[in-house]
Amino acid sequence: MRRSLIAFLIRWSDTALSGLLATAMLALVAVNFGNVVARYVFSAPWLAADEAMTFTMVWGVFVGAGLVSLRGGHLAMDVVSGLLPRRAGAALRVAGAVLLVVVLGVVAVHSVEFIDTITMIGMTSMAAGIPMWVPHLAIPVGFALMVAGTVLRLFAPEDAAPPP
Amino acid sequence: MTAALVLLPAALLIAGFPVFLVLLSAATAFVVFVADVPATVLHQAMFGGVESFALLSIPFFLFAGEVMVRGGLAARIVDWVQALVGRVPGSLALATVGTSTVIGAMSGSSAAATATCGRLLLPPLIRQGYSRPFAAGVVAASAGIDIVIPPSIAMILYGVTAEQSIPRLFLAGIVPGLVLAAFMAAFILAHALLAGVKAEGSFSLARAGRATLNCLWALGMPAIVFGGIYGGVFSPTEAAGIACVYAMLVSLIVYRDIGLRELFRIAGNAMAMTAQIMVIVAAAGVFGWMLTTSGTPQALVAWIGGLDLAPWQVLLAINLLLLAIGCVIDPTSAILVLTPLLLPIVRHAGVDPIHFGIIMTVNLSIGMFTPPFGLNLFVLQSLFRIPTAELYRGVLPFIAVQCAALACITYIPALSLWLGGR
Repeated sequence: MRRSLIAFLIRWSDTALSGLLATAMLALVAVNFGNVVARYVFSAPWLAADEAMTFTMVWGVFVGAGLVSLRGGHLAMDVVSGLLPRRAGAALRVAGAVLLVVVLGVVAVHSVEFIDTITMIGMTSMAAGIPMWVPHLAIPVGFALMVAGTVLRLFAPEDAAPPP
Repeated sequence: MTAALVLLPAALLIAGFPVFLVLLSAATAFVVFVADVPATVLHQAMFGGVESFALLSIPFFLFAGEVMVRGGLAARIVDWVQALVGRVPGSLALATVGTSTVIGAMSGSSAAATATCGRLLLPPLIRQGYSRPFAAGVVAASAGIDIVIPPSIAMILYGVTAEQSIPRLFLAGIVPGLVLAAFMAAFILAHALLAGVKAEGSFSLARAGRATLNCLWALGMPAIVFGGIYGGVFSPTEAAGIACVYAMLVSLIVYRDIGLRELFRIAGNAMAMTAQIMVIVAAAGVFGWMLTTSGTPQALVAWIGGLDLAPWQVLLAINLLLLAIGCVIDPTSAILVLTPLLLPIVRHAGVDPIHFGIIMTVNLSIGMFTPPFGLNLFVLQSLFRIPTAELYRGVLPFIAVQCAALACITYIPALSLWLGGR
């Protein structure tokens, strides 16, 4: 029962996150192309386009990192770990997950502290006037997704995890 | 401090932990236990690492390349290159090199090129009488060239890390990429002549014309990207965005290779690939800050300076280091971690940073197919179940060939700077 719930959660999360990322990618293309047309055809560039695209990419990167964690696809040097016996490999995966939770947890706490500060002073972006907490929030949210993805993958039945 | 800078990252890397986690763990340990700075610097350096307009071209180039390569484009390019070199001995192996080089001008992913060219060309190569190790060697080594031919993700990352012009790096990569392809072609031709391999096809102007027309739309993409950038019309990021729209129109409407559902899936995968790379960029931002704060690059420069090495010796030592590292670490991680350390050393030795960017990229491209852990080898192994020993035997001659090309690229700066120095 628990195993099928985890398998369902992994499939559902993969579909939802992939959909979000695809939408972000196509939105980036639309804004970039629209801005090129506005700039070179109508001589009326959208000044906020660069910021809008950069912040969308920042969100795409950290939400995408959650999906990569869920798929176990982060780039790593698996020279030694690939040679380990099954049990040692499993122990190493648990140790990696614990380290990830601790390190991302520490950074996330300080991220929230920083976001709190820039929200209090009302910092906004220069061209678009976007409150700066919006792009900065991508880091703690992405870290939460990465932790969730890593933990789900740790408890997943082998055939449940989507391919990296 | 040594523990945070060297021992912890090395141990975690060897244990197989994700590269971004290794870098972030070391920097976090440095901030919490060693440095006397507010820990919010971790967040600021990570955000600063990815909030860059220049890096925005990465998702666009990845997406455009994936759209073009996932469709039937590669088959058209194979047909085109074969039509051009059909009468030459070893033409099918030459077509593999040519196809990889052309695909490199559209997509910066060596592994994707290995999979695409492997599926299309490995079985015909074997049917044509090439041994399986040789055929696998041609495919794996040719795909390595993709990283050097612009647009190159590795060069964008180097440009941002080393604060060098990305358009200049792209220009600088063209001749070295062609040099690698020429060395490969010369070896294949010599092998074909010595082994008595006959021409696998014939040349006819009509066939060459038909094949050219058939893939004209595909060849238009690099023309638009490079024409736009070097005509002074677009920035690389704008050119990459236009490449995406062009690739979508060609694949959806002209060639009808993919549908909207497939396009949506490719878009999601392109952004996931971007995340895979950029999360390391973010962590490398913190790691780079830690190295700078601790004065590591300056200490390394002072140490190397004390050895009193000639510039050619410095370059030789760095080439050997990069070749060794390239065997076990992917180009993205190697560039982001090593550039802040190596660039001050080569600058001190009087090497042009653009030239060094190309040397680094070529080294790491060779690492893509160098045993025991070159990524292209794993792609071929998983696709065709080729035994490891055969793969290793197959790529060895091509490693020697590309190392010879690397020596030329390293010690003849004009090859990179002829175009890239302007």
